[in-house]
Amino acid sequence: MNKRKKDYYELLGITLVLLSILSSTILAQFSLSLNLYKFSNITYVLIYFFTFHNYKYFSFTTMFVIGLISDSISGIPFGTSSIAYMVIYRIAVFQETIKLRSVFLSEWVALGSALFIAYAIVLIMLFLSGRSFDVLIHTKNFLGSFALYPFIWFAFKILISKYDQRITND
Amino acid sequence: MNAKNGWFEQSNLRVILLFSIACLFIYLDNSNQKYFKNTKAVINDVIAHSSFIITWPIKEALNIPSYAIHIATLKKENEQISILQEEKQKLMADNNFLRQESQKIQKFIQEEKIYQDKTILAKVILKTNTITASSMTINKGAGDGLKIGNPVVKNNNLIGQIEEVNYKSSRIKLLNDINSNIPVVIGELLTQAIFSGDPSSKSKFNIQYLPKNFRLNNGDSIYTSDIDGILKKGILVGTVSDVKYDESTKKQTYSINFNYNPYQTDYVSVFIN
Repeated sequence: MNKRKKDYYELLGITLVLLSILSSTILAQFSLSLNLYKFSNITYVLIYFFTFHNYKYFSFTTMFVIGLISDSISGIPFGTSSIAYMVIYRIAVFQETIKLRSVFLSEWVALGSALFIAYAIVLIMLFLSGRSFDVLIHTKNFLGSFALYPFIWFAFKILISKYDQRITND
Repeated sequence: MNAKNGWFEQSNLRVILLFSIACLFIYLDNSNQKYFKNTKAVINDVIAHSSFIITWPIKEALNIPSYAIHIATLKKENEQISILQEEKQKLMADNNFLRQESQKIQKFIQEEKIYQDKTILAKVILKTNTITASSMTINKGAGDGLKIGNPVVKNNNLIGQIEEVNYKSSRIKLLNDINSNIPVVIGELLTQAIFSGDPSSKSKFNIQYLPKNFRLNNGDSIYTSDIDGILKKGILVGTVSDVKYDESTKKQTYSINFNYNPYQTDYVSVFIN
């Protein structure tokens, strides 16, 4: 298990997750947003990454609350995103505790299964609540989120290593 | 996972409990339970207004380039307007016909005022675009007389309907939302159809249930119909353009033009009658 990141750095994970939820409202006012929301769900990917890397403030209760915020903003039935986030969190925790964490591929495959279950849950909940949805858009979104992970992983790994280097130098 | 967390976070009870609560919330939300609805309205109000405050500095910072462009173009526009006003004044002074036209316009403006009295102005505090919904949140709620289903207009052009009413905020389901289905009449023959949101299509909209062999024409206006008894009839939805008919597939493609820019809707009007 990784040693906890210190000070304000601990807040990075949870802040980015909250910002990713709010990004749908920030980008919606720009015509240049190019409908990026269609191609990936960055919140799912960030939750998985930061849970897997043992960031503070990531817990079942936090996922539940963040899910309610997300549902309130996007207007879908309360609790839908909470279940999706808690599933991703649970799979990330499981993957982190088993000894395969040094292999990126296993981490990525586990994300795929977590995303698949999360998307399936969201679609089932939307179906049960009588809402219309486009399966094709959700499939594209799932594939986009899955494909996005290596880039996010690489970017944050560089960021974390640079930060650790700075701490060591200090 | 986290050794510093309390017993609740460490036990399996929390997992079962939180999943159960989430499922219960979904059930209560779908069954429109009164107390849950009231609690949800308060939560929605708090989150909507907090999100507005949190995202405001980011939005303003991202808007700086567009403000700069707007200021640069504003000077030119002002010059053009002043030239046009001068020309108008000259013509008004010389031509009696134009005076009469002016009187007609004045009368029309007065009528417009009556029309405006039935609406209330609301500020858009959040715009949301996700794969599940396309909506706006405004700063008026049940306390201001808003009800579910109220039509929302911008520049006398329908932009959506009130979907959810809280105490101090409301959510508007936009026309391009996948769940949006508006009864409309199209063209001079007032042909009935359903105007629905279609995020997967290029135009984001779809006109459904048109009669067989019905062909749209460029410039056909789309107005709301009061067939379901919820919407006020005669509100402009948009104008049909770029109509193309494929003889082989017997399908027609089209675009819809609106009187407003969907990215510049800071204020909207809501019909409250």
